[in-house]
Amino acid sequence: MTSEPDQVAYVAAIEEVLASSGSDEASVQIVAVASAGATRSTLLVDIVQGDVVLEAVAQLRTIESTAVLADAATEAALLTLAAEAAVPAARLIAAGYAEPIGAEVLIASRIPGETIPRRVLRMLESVDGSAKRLTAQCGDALARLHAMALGSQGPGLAALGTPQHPGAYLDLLEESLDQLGHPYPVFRYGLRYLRTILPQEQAEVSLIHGDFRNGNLIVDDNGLAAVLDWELAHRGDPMEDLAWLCLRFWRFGNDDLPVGGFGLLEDLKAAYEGAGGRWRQDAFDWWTMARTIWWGQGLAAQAKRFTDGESNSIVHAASGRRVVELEYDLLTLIGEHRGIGEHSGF
Amino acid sequence: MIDLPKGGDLLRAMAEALTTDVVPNTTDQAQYTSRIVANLCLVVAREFDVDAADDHLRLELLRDFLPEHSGDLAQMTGWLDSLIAVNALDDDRALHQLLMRDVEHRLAIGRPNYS
Repeated sequence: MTSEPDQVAYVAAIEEVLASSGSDEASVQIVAVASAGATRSTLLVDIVQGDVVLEAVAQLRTIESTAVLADAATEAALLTLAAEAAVPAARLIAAGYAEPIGAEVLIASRIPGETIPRRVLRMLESVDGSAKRLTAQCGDALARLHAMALGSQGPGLAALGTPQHPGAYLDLLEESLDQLGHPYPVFRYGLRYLRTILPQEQAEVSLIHGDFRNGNLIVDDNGLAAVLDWELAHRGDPMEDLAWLCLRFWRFGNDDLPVGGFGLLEDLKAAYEGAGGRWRQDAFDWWTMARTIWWGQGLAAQAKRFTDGESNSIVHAASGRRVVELEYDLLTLIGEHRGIGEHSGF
Repeated sequence: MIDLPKGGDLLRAMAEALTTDVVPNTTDQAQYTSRIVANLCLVVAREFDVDAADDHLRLELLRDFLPEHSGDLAQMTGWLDSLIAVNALDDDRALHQLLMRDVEHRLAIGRPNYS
């Protein structure tokens, strides 16, 4: 929870950004603090303009967080593009830099629905056909997302950078691995293997959400209401998004249902292709392994922050003990890909 | 002389108390944190259960695989990592098998039912 002085400053910052976008009569009330961290806070707010109350979400991020994540201007541009392409997403209200607190502020509409993965899975289990529908909606949304990026060079998108060749992606992973300060031979082995099976065909460069998975989807009675957290968006291979959605880590125990723990791969593929996307199986397999390594190393890096004394977060501490799950998944995927697997769990 | 209950049993009791008494009576971030702490208690309890023999077994696997190298578990893991990095290991199937066996030992502590 943020302290009261923080909240006063946050309200002022949000009102300042709203004013700079033309809503200078708006006053803000914090309804709840969804999360509060050293570099980033997410607040549920009501924006009051006369008799009208607008339910919104405000994200405040310090410069440290935007060094690795998209800045507010980029995310604002992405939300606008998503709306144009009919990809379900929150509606942008305002974005800008709030000098007094030294943070970027992104304000978007608050969309009702469920985001907590296990609750989403329970919701879907209780209504026949809803899981298949959500799977299809994910395939459709991703196809729209991947199609819309081509040629889009709107303001704010320059920060998305240039796409990386898979080999360069592996170089970056290897570099990160070397910085962990602890040997992870399974990831090293995975990187070596991935260099031998690079996708045959060059991907058409698309806008990649980067974190499209169960946990970042708002789900309501009609299925996919919105896709959250666009801050890892970048240009790249569309199969990266599809593989990430299907990582075992995001199935939350429903391992038989590869798509987020709720859907079948063939349904995702059919919906994606039906909406104009092109499915490349070798690239999907490659990205599944590559993203397994990326996330395993990400968890290891979180644990390193804890052991180095840079963070006292219990979540970061716990992350270190989940790395082994990603190592197991990676070895299983490689074993199956090479036909030497002893296990066939997923 | 050892005081009872043992550390592992205390940790299991702590996990149980968190799961039964704290988790249902909290919400949002506090509930999430309580679940994580309960799970970590169980991880540490399992670590208490696994004695040094298990580490010794992992070390023996590495020594058998890399007979020309020596060191403790951390050092042997480091050797393995650097040999993979320079592509110095020929028997890929054996390497895959070794890595999987080591992972399975660690999963027994971190997530016993994961397969």
